[in-house]
Amino acid sequence: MSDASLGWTALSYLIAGIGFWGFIGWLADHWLRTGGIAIGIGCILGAAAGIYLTMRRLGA
Amino acid sequence: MSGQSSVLAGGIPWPPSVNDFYLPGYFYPWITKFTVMVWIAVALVLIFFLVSYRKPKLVPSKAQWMAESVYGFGRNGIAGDVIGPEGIRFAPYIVTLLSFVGVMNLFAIIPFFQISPSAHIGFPAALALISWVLYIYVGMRKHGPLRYLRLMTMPSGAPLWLMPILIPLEFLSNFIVRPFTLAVRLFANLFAGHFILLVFTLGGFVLLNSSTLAIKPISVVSWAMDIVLTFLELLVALLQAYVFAILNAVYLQTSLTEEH
Repeated sequence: MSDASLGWTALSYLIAGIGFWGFIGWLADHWLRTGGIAIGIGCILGAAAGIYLTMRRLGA
Repeated sequence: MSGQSSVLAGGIPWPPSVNDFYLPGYFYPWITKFTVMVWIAVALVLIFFLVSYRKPKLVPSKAQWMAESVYGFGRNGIAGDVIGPEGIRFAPYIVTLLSFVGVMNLFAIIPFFQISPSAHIGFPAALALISWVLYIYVGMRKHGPLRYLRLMTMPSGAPLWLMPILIPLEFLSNFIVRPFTLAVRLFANLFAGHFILLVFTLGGFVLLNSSTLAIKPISVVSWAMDIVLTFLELLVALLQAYVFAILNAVYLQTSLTEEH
């Protein structure tokens, strides 16, 4: 894989992670009325998952 | 606002509107200037390769040498390098993309055109859609639909309890974000390039029409920047065609590998 495409892979994991789990968090927030806390948890969880996938792909 | 339009009142059509894209006469609204440019690009690529390969010689003519260089670059430099020996069969597709997108992008700096069809999201989107269908089809042909989906969405070796979190991400990044970024990258580069050239051209006119005498000569600087940026656009046009082709090869490669 070329270096640039590795960079795009990392970016797409991070965007997808924060976007998808942030969205799930937003839904949960609407449903449970947590006042935004669920969105925060979703975003952080998604970012962690995105970083995990990036490290698995790009790390040794 | 009125001050602005009086500054620009030097015979420059302002503001530009959607109507600028249309051809006059009964072609409206079915055939736009972009449509014609795409036809020209298709014809140029087609005629160039047909003519230069018509009577191939062992000692190639200049045209044959150029066509062979482009094809060799796409075949060995992109398809062979990125995908591996299996990728040689995709060389025609990769080379077609490389040359077609390259010619389309070059319209961005050719006088009297000076906008590329790639600066219209519809054309990169259609190309990205074709690539999207192709790499999914190739992957399913090679592994079978279910196994392909498993390979593309389940990262091997990750702990099982993480899977519910990771599978949606792999799915999104492999099937949704990929074609989207492929199209937007090409579109945004050419669109921004067109804007930059427009800003410096019009900026020159604004400075020239300024009421302060001392400001008028600065318009020359603006137009000089225009020329410099046109060369930058040449670089961007060819580079983006290369990036588009190489990313297609990367996507095909990930469809074909056993695991990633």
